[in-house]
Amino acid sequence: MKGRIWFSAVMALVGASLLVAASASGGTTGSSSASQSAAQKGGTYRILNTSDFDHLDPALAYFTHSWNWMGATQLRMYWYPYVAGPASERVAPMAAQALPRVSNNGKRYTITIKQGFKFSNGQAVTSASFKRAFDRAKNEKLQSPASSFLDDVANVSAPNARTLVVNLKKVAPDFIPRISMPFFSAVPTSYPLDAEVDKGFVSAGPYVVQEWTKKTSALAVRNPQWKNNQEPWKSLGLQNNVDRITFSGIGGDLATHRLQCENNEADACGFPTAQAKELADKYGVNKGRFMVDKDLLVWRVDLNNTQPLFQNNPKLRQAVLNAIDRRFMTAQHGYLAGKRTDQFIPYGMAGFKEQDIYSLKGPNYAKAKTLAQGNTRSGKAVFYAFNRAQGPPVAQSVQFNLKQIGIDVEIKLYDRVVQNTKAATRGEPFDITHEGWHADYPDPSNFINVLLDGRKIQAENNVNSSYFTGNGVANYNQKLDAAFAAAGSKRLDLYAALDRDIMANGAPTATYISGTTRRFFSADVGCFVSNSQVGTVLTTICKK
Amino acid sequence: MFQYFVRRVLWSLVLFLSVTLVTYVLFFLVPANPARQAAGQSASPDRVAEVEERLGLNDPVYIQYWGFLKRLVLDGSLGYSFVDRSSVNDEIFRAAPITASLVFGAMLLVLSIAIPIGVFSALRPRSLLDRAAMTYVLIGISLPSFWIALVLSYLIGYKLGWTPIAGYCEVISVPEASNCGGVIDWAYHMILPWLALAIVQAGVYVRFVRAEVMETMTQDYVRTARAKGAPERTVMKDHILRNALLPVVTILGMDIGLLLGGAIFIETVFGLNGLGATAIRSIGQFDLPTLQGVVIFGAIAIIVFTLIVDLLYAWIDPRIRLT
Repeated sequence: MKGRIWFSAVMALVGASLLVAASASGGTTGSSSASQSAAQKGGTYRILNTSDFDHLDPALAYFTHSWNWMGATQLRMYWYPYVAGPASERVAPMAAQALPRVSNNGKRYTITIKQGFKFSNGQAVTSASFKRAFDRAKNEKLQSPASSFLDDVANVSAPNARTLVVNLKKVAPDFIPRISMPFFSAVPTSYPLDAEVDKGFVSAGPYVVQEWTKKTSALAVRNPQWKNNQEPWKSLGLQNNVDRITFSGIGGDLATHRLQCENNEADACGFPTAQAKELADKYGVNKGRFMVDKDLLVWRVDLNNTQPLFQNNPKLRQAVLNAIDRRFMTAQHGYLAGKRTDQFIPYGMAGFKEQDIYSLKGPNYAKAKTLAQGNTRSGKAVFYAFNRAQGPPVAQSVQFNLKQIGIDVEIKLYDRVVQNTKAATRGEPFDITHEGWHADYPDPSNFINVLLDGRKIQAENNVNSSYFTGNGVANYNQKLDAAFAAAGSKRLDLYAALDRDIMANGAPTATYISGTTRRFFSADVGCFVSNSQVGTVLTTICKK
Repeated sequence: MFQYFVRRVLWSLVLFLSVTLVTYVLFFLVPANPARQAAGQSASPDRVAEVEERLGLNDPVYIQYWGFLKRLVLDGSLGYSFVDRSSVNDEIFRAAPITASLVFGAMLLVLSIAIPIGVFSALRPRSLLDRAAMTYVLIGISLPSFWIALVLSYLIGYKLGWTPIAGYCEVISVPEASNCGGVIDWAYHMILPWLALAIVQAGVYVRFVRAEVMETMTQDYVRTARAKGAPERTVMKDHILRNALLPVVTILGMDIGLLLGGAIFIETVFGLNGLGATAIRSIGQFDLPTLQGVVIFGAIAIIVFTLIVDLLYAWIDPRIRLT
C-alpha cells in the first residue's frame, strides 16, 4: 500500500492516521543520532501506531508500517542496506551471494543464495525458501498484492539448494529493486501456498514476530538463530540492539500518542501534523527527538489529457504549471512536510537531478498568460478534489491561480476514496485531480513508468490519472522504454533527462511537493537509521 | 407479559433488518469499489475481478444482502474484513468488552454523581449547592466530550502523571506485548476515560434527576404519605425516588445501548480500540463487513437495553402492566 497515498490520507482524516505509518516510513538517506558501534544493547522499543498491520505474512503485508516490521523480521535476497548515507540508496545482496548472473538476452536471472542463514525454527534458508515466496505471490487464491509485480515473470525454479533461477518474459532492469520488496522474503516451505499465515510466525530476519493480537498489539523478539558475530550474518553489519519490539496504540489519537512519547511511555509516536512546528521548536530538527528525512513521495495536480481542455494542448498545460503557487500548496501539508518541487522524480531517489523548470517561489503569471493565450478553449475546468486536510485549500489555490490565466475552475469535493476511484476511471469528466504517490521501491521507473506510461491505461483503476499518452513530447514512449531498458548510470541519466523533458514539454501534471517523513521519538531512543523501503530500521534502534 | 415479550422481539427483528438493509444500501450508493482497494492501485481489471469474486462483490446487491443474512442466521457469522481478511465476529468480540468497560464504568460513575447531587439540589432549590450543581450541569453539557478527554489526558495524565495518558489493559488473556494487565491495571487505565464520559453524561442526569424529584415532590401521593405520618426517609425512598427514577431508568437504558455502539471520541482520545474506533476505521477503509458488524452489535445493544428497561418498569412500578 506504499503507493496508495489516498489510503493514508483517508486514514489520517478519520483519526486513525497512517501519518504514524509515514513516520515509520523511510527517507532515502539514513540518519542516526548516535554511533551504532557505541549503541546500548537491550531493552524494549515501544511503537505506538493508530492503525494495526494489514498482515504480517510477507506475501500480503503492504501497509507502510507492516513493511517496517518486515524490515526487522524478514530476510530478502536483495536489500537497500540499513546504513546511513549513499550506500543505503544502492541495491545490494542480502541473502544472495552477489548480484545475479543475467543471461545475454537479459531475461534469465540466476541468483546464488549464501549458505548458513536460518529461520527462527532452525531450518536452513535455501533457494526453495525464496521460490516459495514467488509461488505464494503468484498464487491466485492467496491474492497477494505482489502478483501485480510479477506480470513479467515467466517461471521461477530452484535447481539446487543454493540456486534460484528466474526467467522473465521481457527485459526488466528494475527486477532486482522490485524483488527487494518484502513480498519476496524467504519463507519456510511449510508456509501454505494459498492461505495467510497470521500466527506461528517463522522468519529468517534478525527478529521474529512472537505474538500478534490483531487490532491490539504485536511483539517481536530476537531470532535465536541470528548471530551477528558470525558469517553470513556478520557481513550484513546489523546491530539488533533492543531485545523486544512492541507495537500498540491501535485506535488511539495522535495528540495522545505524542504525549505518551513525551512522557517516555512509548518510544516512537505519531503526532498531529499541526503540532510539527511546536515539536520542531521544542526539540529542534534532527537532534534526536523530532527527525525529518526525505521520502519517496510526491504530491501533484494531474491534468486530464483525455478531456477537451488539456488534450493535445501542451501550451495550456505548461501555462498551468507556471501559474500554480507551489509555496502555498506545499504549506498546506504542514511544517517540514516536504520541499517544493517542479519535477516528477522525488528528491533523493536515484535518477533525481535538480532542474530549474518552473518557479518554486510562486506563480509566474506573465509566462503562464503568454502560454495560455489562445489555448484556453472552453475556459472552464472541473477539479476533483478530496474534502479534507490539504484537499480543499490546494484546490482553492489552483482555482485562484488559473482564474488569473482565464480558466474558471469548478471544484468538486469528494471523500478521498471516492475522488481517487473516480479519477482512476477512464472517461470520467474531470480536467484536474489531486494525487500523491509513494514509491514501492526506490527506482525512478516506479514513478515515471508506473504513473506516465499511456500504454497501461485501462478502463478503471488507473494510477496514470493525467491519462498521459505522451502527446506533446516527441518519441515519448521510445524514451520511456529506452530509460527503462538501460543500465547503470546511463539509466539514471536517461531518467533525469526524461524527468525534465516530461515536466517542461509534456507537462502532464503539476508536481508541487516532494515529501518528507517526520518522526517523533521519546528521550529514551539513542540511535536509529532510516531506510527508504522499511522506514525506521528497527534493527538499528538503541535505547539510552 | 409473554405476549408483550414476543411482540417486542418481533419488532426488534424488523428493526434489525431495517438497520442492516440501510447500511448495505448506503454502502453501495458510494461510488467506491473495495475490491479495487484490496487489489492495489494499478491492478489490472482481471485482478480486480478476482478480488471482487473473493469478496463476493460481483453479485447484485440483493443477492449479497441475502447471502449476508443467511450466513448470519445459519452460521452466526458476520463475515470477514475486506481489508485484513480477519473474522468480523472475532473483531466484535475483541472490541465489545473494551467499549463495555468504558460505558458501564462511566454510567456507574454517572449515577453515583447524578443521583445524590440531583436529589439534594431538588430538596434545596436555589441553595448554594443547587447553584453549584447547576453551574456544573451547564459546563458539563456545554463542553464537548473529546475536549474534556484531551484536557484530562493532558493535565492529569501528562502534566501531573497521576494516571496513564492513554491505553487499555486486558483483565484476562494479557498479550505479551502489553506492559500491563489484570484488574488493577485495567481500572487504573480506565479512570480518565470513565471520568471524561461521566462528566458530560452526569451533567445531563443531574438536571434530569433534579427536575423529576422536584415534580414528584408535588404529587398528591407524596403529600398523602407525609400527612399519614410516614417518616421522611420512607417518603423519599418509597414514594419520591421510586417514581422520580422511572424516567431516569428509561434514559439510562437508551444511553447505554447507544454508547455501546461506540463512544467514538472518548475511545479515540484514550486509545481504547473499542467499537467506536473500529467503526471509524472501517468507514475510512470501506470495510463493509466490519462496519456492518458494529452496526448490528449497536442495534442489538439498543434493542436489548430498551427491552430490559421496559421489563424493569414493571418491577419498579407495579402499576405498570406490560400487556
